[in-house]
Amino acid sequence: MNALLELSPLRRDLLVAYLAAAAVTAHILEAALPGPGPWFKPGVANVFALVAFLRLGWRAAAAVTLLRVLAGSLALGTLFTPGFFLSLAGGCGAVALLGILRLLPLGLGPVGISLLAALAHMGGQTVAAWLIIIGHAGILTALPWFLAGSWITGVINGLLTALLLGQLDRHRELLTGP
Amino acid sequence: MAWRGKWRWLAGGAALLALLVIGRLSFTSAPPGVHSATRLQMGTLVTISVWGVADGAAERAMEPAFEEIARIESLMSRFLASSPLARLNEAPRGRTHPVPGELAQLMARGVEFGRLSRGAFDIGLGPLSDLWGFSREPPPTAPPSREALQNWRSRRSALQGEQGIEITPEGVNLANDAVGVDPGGIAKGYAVDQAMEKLRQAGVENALINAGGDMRIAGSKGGKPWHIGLRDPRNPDGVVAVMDLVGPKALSTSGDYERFFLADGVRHHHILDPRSGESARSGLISVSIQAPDSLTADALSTALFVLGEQAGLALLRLFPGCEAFLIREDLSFVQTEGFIAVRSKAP
Amino acid sequence: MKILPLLAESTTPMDRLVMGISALGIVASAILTVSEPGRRVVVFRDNRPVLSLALDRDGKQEVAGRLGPVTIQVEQGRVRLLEYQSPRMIGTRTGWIQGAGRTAACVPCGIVLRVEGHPKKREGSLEFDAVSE
Repeated sequence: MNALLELSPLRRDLLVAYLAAAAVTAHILEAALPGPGPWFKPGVANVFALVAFLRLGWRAAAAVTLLRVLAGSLALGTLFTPGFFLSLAGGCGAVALLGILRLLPLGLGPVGISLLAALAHMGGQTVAAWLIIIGHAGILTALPWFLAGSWITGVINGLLTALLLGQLDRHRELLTGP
Repeated sequence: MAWRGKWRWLAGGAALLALLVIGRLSFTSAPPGVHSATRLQMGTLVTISVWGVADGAAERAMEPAFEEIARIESLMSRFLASSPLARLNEAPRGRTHPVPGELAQLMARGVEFGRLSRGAFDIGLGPLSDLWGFSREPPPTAPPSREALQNWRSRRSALQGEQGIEITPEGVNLANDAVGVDPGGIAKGYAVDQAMEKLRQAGVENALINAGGDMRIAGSKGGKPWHIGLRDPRNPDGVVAVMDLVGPKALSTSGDYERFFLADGVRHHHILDPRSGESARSGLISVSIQAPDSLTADALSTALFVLGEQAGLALLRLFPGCEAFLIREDLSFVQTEGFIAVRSKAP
Repeated sequence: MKILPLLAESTTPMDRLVMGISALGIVASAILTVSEPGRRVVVFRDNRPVLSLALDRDGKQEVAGRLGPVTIQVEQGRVRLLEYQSPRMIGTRTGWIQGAGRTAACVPCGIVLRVEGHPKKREGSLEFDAVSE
């Protein structure tokens, strides 16, 4: 299930671009959701980074994530606002975790990876919020509740990733070409 | 080629770090919000709130302000036997007693308010206040005896309408034992002004000091005005006016509901009329003054309360930049044209 | 869509292990932070701290005021001053206080209570910065 695709550089870049575009779209749509802020968003955008990770490798996942944060913030006009730095830190946390998972043959599927990435995402966001916005420890008492939310969205996004991978694998010939 | 990969990672890391630093820099100026501290001083709760100052700096700025209020309290408390003011009140009458220059200056301001208000405001009511005992614990439940009040009145009338407080460079001369200094109508206002000056010296530009209703405001909360309520005189949980104030501005309220008791259906409260020796009955139950400084607001709120609506508003016209909000006995209200209120209603 | 079969079908044993361990970890950390000593109220006598009470433990505590004992009651994370009757007793007028930075006082007793912690953003815009009285 976790087999990387062998693609030509062009197809590979194209797929990264498609995934990044989808992630940016999800990022922008989620920003329109009502909610208390950058926390408690379902994080569907991360599904595309996970697909990139599982089919194209870690670098593609990092590219999709960073492109998503940058382009999404540009489109929303939130570049260099607190929300942007939270997204960036969350993305970095998730990408860093994927980097660690890449080196460890744990036998994790999409759901486990998505779950851990979601927790790392929340961890990165919290550190950033603590560093640049709130500046006191009050946020740490809320962390378990945020993590619980991340656990749920992480599992759901993992399932979505699995479904998307299933679709992708069924149409593998479209990607790899004749 | 391995080192090139490493360099690439280092460059990426440095870029991320730079982004975080930008983030950090752009948000250290973000509003840290309001910091408040409360202390018990001058027989009331003194709360200092500062805006736009980091935690530690706020504490450091507030300390000298609280200390200033404590210093003024130890200078002019009636109840600390060691204070220069208490010693003046203990000194024999009819001769000049040396007092610290600051105290003499403040008393001179008080005497001036007394003159302008034609005796409605009086800082020489110490013995009368002691007679009524509104500062006593437990609080009084009955007015002083008829004889005691009559005695005070006759000693007082010996002054022939003068305040009986003579201030010279050498000191202060109190005319007789019906006169004793009770700076209650101006001391808190003065202390609040001085404390605000200490905050300003510490670099605080946005602050609110509230000493039991004597309030002074500097600046705003990052462009947002300070949001002030005015207590409903007959409902301790309600407000009758909402004010959005930007400093410099002072606000003081005098009401018949702060310290009072009911005896035989009569409400006796702590604002005494020097002319009758009894609680002021001018048809007003609450007077709020907005003024440029807290001393003026403090003195005028008391003076207008004693004078009543007509004479009070006439006095107010002598003080440019001062505005009033009056609540009458029938719970209707009137506010002068320049009184700043977002909304106001009858109690 | 049936979530559970889907979940069973698309997870590896390792996934399930990670789900279980992380859920346990989150629950444990939630319990730890909730039962953490948390908020306290500090009691000042003449502006000096004399007592600190945890707000998560209900009970009553007497402290010596200038005019005799004053009772401080903690209940359900709230605190108030009790028993000393005086028109100047702001404690009774304030009633229960709860949020960080809130104060209650018995002025004649020289007692001030203050809930510790960093005041949060004011709840709603109804709260005043100060009330003139």
